[in-house]
Amino acid sequence: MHPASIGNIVYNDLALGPCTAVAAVEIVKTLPLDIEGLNVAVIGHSEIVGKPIAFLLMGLGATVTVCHHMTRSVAMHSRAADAVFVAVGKPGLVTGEMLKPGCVVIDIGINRVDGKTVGDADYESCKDVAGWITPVPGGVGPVTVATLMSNAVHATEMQMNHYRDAYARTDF
Amino acid sequence: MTAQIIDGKAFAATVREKVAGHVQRLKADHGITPGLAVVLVGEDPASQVYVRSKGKQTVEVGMKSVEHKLDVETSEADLLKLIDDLNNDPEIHGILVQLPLPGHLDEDLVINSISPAKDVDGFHISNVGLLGTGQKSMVPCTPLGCLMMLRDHHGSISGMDAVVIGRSNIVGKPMAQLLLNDSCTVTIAHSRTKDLADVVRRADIVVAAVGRPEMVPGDWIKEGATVIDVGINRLDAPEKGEGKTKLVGDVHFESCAARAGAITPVPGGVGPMTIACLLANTVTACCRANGLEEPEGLTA
Repeated sequence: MHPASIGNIVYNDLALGPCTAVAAVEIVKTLPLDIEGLNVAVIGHSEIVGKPIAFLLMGLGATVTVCHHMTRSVAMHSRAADAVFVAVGKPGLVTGEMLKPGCVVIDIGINRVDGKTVGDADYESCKDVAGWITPVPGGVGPVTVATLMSNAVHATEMQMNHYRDAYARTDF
Repeated sequence: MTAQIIDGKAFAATVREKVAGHVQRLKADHGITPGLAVVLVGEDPASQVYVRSKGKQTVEVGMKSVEHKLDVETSEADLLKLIDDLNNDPEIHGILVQLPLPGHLDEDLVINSISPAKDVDGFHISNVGLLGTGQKSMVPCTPLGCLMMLRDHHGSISGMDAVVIGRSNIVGKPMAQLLLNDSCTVTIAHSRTKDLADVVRRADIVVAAVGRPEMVPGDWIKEGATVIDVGINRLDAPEKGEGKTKLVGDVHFESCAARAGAITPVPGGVGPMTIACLLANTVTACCRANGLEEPEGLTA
């Protein structure tokens, strides 16, 4: 989340990305879809999830539309999208009728409703329209934790390389 | 419908007036003169024209202008040393290294060696990230100019559907960030976008920044939309006489103007705003460096 890391993402040079955003994008990468040219709607423009997802996907060649609470018609954008990422924190925000048949739904929301954990997408109505959907719980969450581990390993490698280079440049 | 022409030349003059007013107050109330240093390496003719015009306008608004013209063979170490000196010079509030740099110099390294607080071009990686996370930053001049024109024309652009065509680091990407921060619903389209016409037709605001002459035809434009044309392309114009050329934007002006509600011309639209915003950024940087209140309406 350091500005320089975010700056690197914007400049398409991914070193360490915010875990949830990276996790959401990594999940889509596993699907038999070409991200280049994919029409994507990202619902929610938070600094830690929505915006970095948008820039990660744009770097991979997707056409990204970022929607948020001031968006006049989220449905207009989500219906045009091959993939919908939702990260707002509002249960049931995305329903099946807002989706293009066969699309991908990546649900990043985690909400407590009547003692149950649910996402931002209405799973029941979305699952019949979408081609792929991540459940909540058990979707993006575990991949986020795995991404943190992978970032930690990557950070360690970068630091080792950095100090190795630094030592190589000195005479002691 | 015939679009209202957004006169960038006139608007840039009002921005420069505002800047000049702030410079006056900084001098009178605090004894501070904002200073801008421009560094040019080599003798690229286009860069020389830009640097001259930047220096001239800097002086006109009452600021201190320093130009460093370095030999094309200047070593990276010498350039970095100069930037380090400027970073530590309390009379310099803004540093601009004119791009492109000669091939033997690492542009990323050079730009990232400028103190982010003095990076009036807004290209330092920290400023890019600060903008990306909605924090106070130095904002790249061209998209800042586009944003000012949009705010001036619409009042508020909150909730509008905006499409940015082109995802360059200097215009497209920061433009998208600025529009998002102003609560537009933003789509970033680019060379890999499928059905570009459909994407553009949904938009209330179209910002074209690709560098392809007249690539956006009028029938892509939604009736009444605002079109901001960032492209500057030089084409042969045999109709004006042998060997003559003309400047055109990335949108086809006549057909787009017939459908748009407002449109920026090329030349005389976005172009003049860029240097005006460079001056605005320098004043903003000067106020921040001195812990003074920032001028209103001159930054994002």
